[in-house]
Amino acid sequence: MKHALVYLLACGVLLQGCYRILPSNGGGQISGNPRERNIDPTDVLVPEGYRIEAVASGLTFPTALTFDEDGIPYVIEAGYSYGEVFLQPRLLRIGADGQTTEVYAGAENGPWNGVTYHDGFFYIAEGGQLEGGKILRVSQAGEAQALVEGLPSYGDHHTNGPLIQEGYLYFGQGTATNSGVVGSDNADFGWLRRHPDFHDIPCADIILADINYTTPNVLTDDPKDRAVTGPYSPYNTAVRQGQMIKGEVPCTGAVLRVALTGGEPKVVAWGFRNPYGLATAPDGAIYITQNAYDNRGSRPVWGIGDVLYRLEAGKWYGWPDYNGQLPLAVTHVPGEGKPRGPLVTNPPGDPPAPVATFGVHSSSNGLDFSTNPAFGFRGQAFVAQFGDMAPKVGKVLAPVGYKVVRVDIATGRVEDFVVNKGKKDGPASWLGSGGLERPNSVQFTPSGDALYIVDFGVMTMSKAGPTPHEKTGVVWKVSKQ
Amino acid sequence: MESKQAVRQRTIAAIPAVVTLLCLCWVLDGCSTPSRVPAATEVSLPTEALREGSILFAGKCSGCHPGGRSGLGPSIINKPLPSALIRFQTRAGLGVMPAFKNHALTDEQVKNIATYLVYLRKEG
Repeated sequence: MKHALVYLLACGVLLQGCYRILPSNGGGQISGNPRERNIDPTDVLVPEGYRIEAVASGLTFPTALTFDEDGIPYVIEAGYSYGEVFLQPRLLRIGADGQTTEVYAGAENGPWNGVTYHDGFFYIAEGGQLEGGKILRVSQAGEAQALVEGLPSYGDHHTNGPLIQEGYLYFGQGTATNSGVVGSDNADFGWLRRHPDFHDIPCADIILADINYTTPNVLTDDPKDRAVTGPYSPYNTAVRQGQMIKGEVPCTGAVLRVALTGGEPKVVAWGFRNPYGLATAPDGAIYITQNAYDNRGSRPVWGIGDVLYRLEAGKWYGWPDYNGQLPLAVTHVPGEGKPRGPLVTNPPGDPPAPVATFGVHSSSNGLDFSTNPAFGFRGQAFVAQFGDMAPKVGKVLAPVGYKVVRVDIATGRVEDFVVNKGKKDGPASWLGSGGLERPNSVQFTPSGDALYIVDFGVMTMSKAGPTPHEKTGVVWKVSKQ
Repeated sequence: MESKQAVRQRTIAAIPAVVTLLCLCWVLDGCSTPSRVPAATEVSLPTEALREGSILFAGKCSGCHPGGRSGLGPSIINKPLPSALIRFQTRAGLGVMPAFKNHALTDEQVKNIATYLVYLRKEG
């Protein structure tokens, strides 16, 4: 018995070591520079009885789409991409011939992460990497005003959504950091040097444990200099046991809402990491996708999948100490051990359980619900998976995401709906095909008879970070034959 | 009829072979699983065990093995592992994969997950 146990233990240790030395194989990790994008719908698998076509191409970082009252589609180009590319974000009308016409061009304050149309106006979630997040209201004539501004969006994650329901506009506000602590990974993103005092903001008062992280100080030239940083604090600012951090609004990691008539935004729920997609189910409930933790920074977290939540007003959803109902204390990073914590000693409640779990690093982003029985799968959520950003977010053994999945919200089962042909999942540039690259959002037509997929385009990855490729974005349309 | 002691000894003796087989499967993980054509309608699983296994798989396993295929972890539907070995690996963990103990999954639930994985491999 003793020999068997020793043998088992040795094999476990050996395999753990194997995992650590295996190279990352993310979908963005390709050599070369794919400047041209081949588009071929026959390289994409859709269910029998459905067809897919490309309706617009040559877009630069498209992220979302909406329809006006006449059913005309409009797409937004983000104007900012990870990789520190700053451009002018744009709202474009897509003509029947696939040609685009500019309706409005914004300031270099992207990324524009979402758009919706309501009662003659476009509402745009402006990520706010340079000036802070905003919700813009844009007329058909291209006149814009800010419904909300000054949102804390200078960090890793931005202002998302928006969704309009019963006179209110709901939006997501992502966190500044991966898991609560500003570190050298945030310098890699680019924002730490622009905003060295920026950090996460709780929506209500929290009390911290005595947990700080010591790293090389990336803001000084002295390689021996060290930074000691605590959670919810500026870089190189330590915290002490029992220290209270005052809650503020607007805060990070929250879903907020504002009346369409204006006013201050109010918190609906918080404790999210990056609440990206918001959509209304046929029963009127709001569902949210959350991009979960990465294996990076001062407090890396391993093995945590993105999730789908049903929004419950007033709840705290667990960030930075849980993912769903899973405490991070029970997780571990291979070769490094458990994340220290919990950081917050007075958790504001028990986090709700997710409705569904997606692949780790799948970047499950925009979602929408099928409402038309003729299209099929009525009541199911359709989710666009941007795909992994390995190795910067952590290692994967094979590409994750790069497709559209559907979720049975009653059971949590996740099934492929639109996926590239191939022996593995992956973007077209990785597979060498003309299919999907990085689906970022999905939107049903107003009648629900077709599903549009906004494909961000090619983003390659290396240890240095992401390289997004301009003019490679595509809008796809899936309909019944 | 074998005594309990004999069964126990035989089980213990089999453990190294089981672990070796699992190691081999891990090494052979380069074998990939081709994409499946997405279903046009909701697939009705034929038994209650498969239905429960599919739901448990979605909550407990698919994060690291989306659709049973490789992602953060290796593919788990491209290996000819019998249900008993899947159950063993689920309970014991392997390498960086966590062990799912009794408080996380009952024996019946582990069995249903294994049944579903075998089904995925054959039907996929």
